[in-house]
Amino acid sequence: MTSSFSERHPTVEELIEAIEGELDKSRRADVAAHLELCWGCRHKHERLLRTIDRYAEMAASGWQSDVDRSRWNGFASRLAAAAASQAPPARRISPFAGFSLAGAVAALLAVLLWPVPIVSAKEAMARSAAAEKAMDLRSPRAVTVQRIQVEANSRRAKGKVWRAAAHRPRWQPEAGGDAALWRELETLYEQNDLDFSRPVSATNHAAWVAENGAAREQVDQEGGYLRIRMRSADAPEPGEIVEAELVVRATDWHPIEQTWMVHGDGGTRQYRIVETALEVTALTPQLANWMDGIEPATISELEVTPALDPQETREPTLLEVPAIPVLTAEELNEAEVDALVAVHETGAADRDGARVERQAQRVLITTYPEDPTHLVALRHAIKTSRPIEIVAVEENDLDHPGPPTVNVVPLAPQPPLFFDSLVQMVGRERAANLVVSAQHAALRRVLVEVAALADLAQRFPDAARSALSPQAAARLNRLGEAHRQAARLAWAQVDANSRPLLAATGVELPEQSAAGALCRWDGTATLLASSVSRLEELYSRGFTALAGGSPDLGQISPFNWRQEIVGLHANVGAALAGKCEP
Amino acid sequence: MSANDHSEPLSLSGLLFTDAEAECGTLEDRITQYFATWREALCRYLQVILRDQGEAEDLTQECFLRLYQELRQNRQIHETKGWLFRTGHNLAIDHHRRRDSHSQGTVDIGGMEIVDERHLSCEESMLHNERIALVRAAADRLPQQQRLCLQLRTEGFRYREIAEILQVSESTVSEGIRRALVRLMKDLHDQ
Repeated sequence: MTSSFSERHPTVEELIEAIEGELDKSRRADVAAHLELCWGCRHKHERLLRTIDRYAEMAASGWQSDVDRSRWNGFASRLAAAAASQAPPARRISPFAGFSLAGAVAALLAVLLWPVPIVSAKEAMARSAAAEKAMDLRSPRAVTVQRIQVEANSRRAKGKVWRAAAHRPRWQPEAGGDAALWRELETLYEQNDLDFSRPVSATNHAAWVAENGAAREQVDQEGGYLRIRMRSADAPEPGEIVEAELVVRATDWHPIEQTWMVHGDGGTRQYRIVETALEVTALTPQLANWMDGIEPATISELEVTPALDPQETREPTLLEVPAIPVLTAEELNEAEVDALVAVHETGAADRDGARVERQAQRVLITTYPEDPTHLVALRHAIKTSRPIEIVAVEENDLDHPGPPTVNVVPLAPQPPLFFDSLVQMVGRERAANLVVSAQHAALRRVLVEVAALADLAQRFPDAARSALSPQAAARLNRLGEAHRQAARLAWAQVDANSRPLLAATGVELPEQSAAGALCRWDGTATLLASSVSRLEELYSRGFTALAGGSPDLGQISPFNWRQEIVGLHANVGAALAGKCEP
Repeated sequence: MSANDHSEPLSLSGLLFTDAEAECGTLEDRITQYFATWREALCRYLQVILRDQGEAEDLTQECFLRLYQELRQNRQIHETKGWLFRTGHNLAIDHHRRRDSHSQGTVDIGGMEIVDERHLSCEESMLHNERIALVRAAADRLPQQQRLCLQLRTEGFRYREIAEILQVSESTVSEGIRRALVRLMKDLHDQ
């Protein structure tokens, strides 16, 4: 029953996106096709273009373009004065020499004291590789233990990698992780000629760039970290890495996170490898034997290797780098639940158009508070220390769109199918109009709530929900039930209005069946949203002259209208009552 | 690149400028070239924040001098135009705050000049000025962030670049531009 995009009126937002080139190609073509046919939308589109023209004209007029060049003359002398001052020498990487443990610690201290710079991707990578090499130049009696966490979609594994000069590197996966993920990662490193004993490594990253070339590179500073992104210049084969991202600590250039985007038949896969801790400890003879003694040292073999006896690693830790706070997918899920609940409970979604957006390491709430107290209330509602950030956009107009809804935009005028009958039945046109308006308002309220349900179901599919803590899952369910309950209340109003409206059309709604199994709030959310939207369209066609939405409404016969509306009433009523199938 | 590649001290020469950039002559020549290319766009943007053409001009020069200092210290800067606008934005916001704290909010909003009118007749000029004044009044009623988004968009930045300059998300930029256009459209066409 859904119409194609070109058949319905684009919203103002879509028109702006089309003008801005932000719509994807097919949708842009749909909008263009629609504008060919629809005078109303073309008029709106032209008004937008004129608005942009007028703003651009005003912006340019704020400037007397080069009429008076003399005011810039001062710049040449300021630049000359700056050039005459002593230029500071460029920083260079210091070589690290010596193989003693004290030398290695001193070298590390030296890099720790360097300031946080703004650098190119190549420079950051070179410095990080140098810091890595400095770690390798330590005493032959030291061993590095790197704790690693690997994530690929919802899969996860943890483990340690042991490295010591002149000894075989060893992996030690933790029990309970996804063993297949380790094998996959090992294959990935082998296939791309990378050193698997250095899972998070600027040297590996640089080797990949040297092999593939970088079509695009970028360095972003995020607090005390630098994120180096590079994309391959070559067309990838399946299994090849197409994009690499390395996060290094800006204070000492130590790499702490590596992400590989891998080309595959079914799309791009992402592997995120995070160093959660790093220790340097003394290499005991037992440890050396353990590292060298078992052949071959591959992951599949190590899975059956008993974990190292803790007694063997009780040597004092010489250097411990604190683990960085890396948020897991579960923590982000829970932060998202918190944010959604806060936005709902404070009414920020309806009142201020607040939206919740999940990002890489935080959850962002963007809100348009009409009153500063709304923002205070929202902040107060987030009681946890989770990474939720609120961005309040200054806003004093009242035209915010609220939750995403289906717009009923007037199409070419068509006489209503049943309005005259309704007027005859209730006696006065004004009274008939009131009933129709009340029905539209109630349906819109139902639609807002079921759209919120569909949004929740989309954000938290089964896999994500099963990974939530019991408390977060309970909060999410309460939020879902609150939306369903609000939708039910609004539906009761729709139901009450429907009796006189449908009586005028000759339809008698059957009583709701009590049969049917109870289903979860998210079970039919998306379907429910489209059903309510269609109901809204049908009521428009039945009782108003401005039939909106799908053009098939212009052709619908009274018989089909009745058939469809009865079916939709039954389905929506059953779904909101919590019954999946009658 | 293997680990052994770094056994010698690393030289950063060659990483700092591309060949194409090096051909442009001295660093001072490059800065002068950048200045001639972007000074007006940057100054227009800073005027939106500062509402004072003199101060906007002064900060515009300051931005290019900072760019010079950065490049002279061998810092690599990608997307020079974005860097200039980001630096200008931060300088202007700081400047605006300092000025407001001293002047208790007495801001001169009449500093903008009107287009060169030499080629317009008296009547055309009057109509033109009136039209510009209407748009400016409507734009001045926009929340500042929406106005900045719109101004940066007018200067040719994409949403991602605007988000980087203003330090907000892309969706906020998209929303800001949408709201600004809808509101301007209402103000300008529904009168």
